[in-house]
Amino acid sequence: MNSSADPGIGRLLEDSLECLEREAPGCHARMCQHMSGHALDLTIGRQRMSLRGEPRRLTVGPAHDAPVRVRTELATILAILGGELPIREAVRDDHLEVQGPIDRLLILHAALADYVHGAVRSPSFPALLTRLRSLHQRETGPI
Amino acid sequence: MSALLSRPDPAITRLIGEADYYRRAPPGPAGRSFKEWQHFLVLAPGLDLLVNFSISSISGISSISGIPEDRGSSPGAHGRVILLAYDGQWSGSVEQCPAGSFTAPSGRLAARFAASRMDFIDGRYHLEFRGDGRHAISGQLVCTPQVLPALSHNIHLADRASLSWLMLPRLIVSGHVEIGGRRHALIDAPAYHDHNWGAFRWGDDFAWEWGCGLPDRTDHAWSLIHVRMADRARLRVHSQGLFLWRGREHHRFFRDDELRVTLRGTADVHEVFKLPSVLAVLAPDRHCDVPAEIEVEASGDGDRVHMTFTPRAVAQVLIPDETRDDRLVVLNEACGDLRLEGTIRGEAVTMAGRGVFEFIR
Repeated sequence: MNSSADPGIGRLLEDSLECLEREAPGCHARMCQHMSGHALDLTIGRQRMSLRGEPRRLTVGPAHDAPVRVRTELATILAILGGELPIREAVRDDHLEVQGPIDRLLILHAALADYVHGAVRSPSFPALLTRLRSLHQRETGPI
Repeated sequence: MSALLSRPDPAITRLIGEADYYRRAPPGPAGRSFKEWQHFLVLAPGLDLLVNFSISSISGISSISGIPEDRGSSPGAHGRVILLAYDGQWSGSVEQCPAGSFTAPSGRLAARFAASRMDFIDGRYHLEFRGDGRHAISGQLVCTPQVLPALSHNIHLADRASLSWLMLPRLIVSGHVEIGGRRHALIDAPAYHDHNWGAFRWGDDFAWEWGCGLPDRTDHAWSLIHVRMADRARLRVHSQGLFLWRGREHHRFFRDDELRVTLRGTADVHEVFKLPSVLAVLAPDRHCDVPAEIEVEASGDGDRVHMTFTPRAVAQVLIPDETRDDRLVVLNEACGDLRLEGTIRGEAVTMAGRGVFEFIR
């Protein structure tokens, strides 16, 4: 994680991956398989970090250049989760910027599907979503 | 039906009291995949509304995820209130109610789900509900049953999976509904109710097509329910039926070989609303596997009816598959126009009205 930035979103991502491993291990294992050997350069608002895949684990770490880059805002993530912004429109209108070779992007898409399938089967994720909303409120005031 | 029942009918009230109570999960293996829901539909002019109080064991999901089962007094039970409305645009939410935040005692016809509740008092259903989100749905409704209920027990769904069903296809409802600041006042609007319970997992080898129809005119006697149970691939139909009520009475039931069901085309809807919204990430498609028309031709013992339903708008309730962790089950909720005509016991049957059909895919 970029040490100059608030670690909130990076810590939240780490915690969510731990939940996934504990509560939806099948989804976590598939996500690891998809992401193994791949890295993602992720920027959310002012916070930049990396997500690396290994055969059995996913790690959130300091920012570094990677073949796949994703840049978005917390408000966009919440709008997608809230059903107000379809992910396709978010990409089309540059609210969600995704750059990388198409084969890597397809891998990322499969890993995202694994993550969401696990999230909706994990009892701890509603509390994580509440934390995500709190982070956004801290940045911008009440939604 | 010469006139609607403005007051509860004692015979209807007694039968509902004897049949529509909460069952809740039985002990033993069946309880681990037990589900139960109380379902209400309002088909008012300018408003289609779905209110569903649902209880589900979460052990199916737990067995996927490896979470130890809750062995407390309410093992693994999880409540949800699904609110869905179409008043020219779709709105809706799924309110999650973990164990401890809802009550629905077995043997009683009353439930509390967070800020929502259902009661049956003096022959009427009282509903109060409050959703969440930008286009939140809230309201208070009083529903007066108009017909005698019917029960159907242990309908085969799949191997070791079955469903029981109480049908009450015609009520009138008064009260109000607010949707994102838009207020709908209802006076004696048409409504539907059913109650379902059984042991099955979403994703088991079944798919149903189910629908109800109510007349636009209050002086029309007829109301109906259609149901067809098939395997998940929809290659084999296990059972099908068309239930017709005339006035208060259950009048005619066409079943299995007496029915010919035809699905035509694909519904031409420009927007498919999805609930819960987070799952739209996994099902972003704008099209839906819902026919442009469903036609039911029923005949037997000299009776013959012809029913068509044409969807106008479709929403999807997305449910995590409980048999595998990389798939969803899609409940397509279609509201539209319904027509019925034919002859039963020498009497001409003609009805134009509205319907809501559900297609599991």
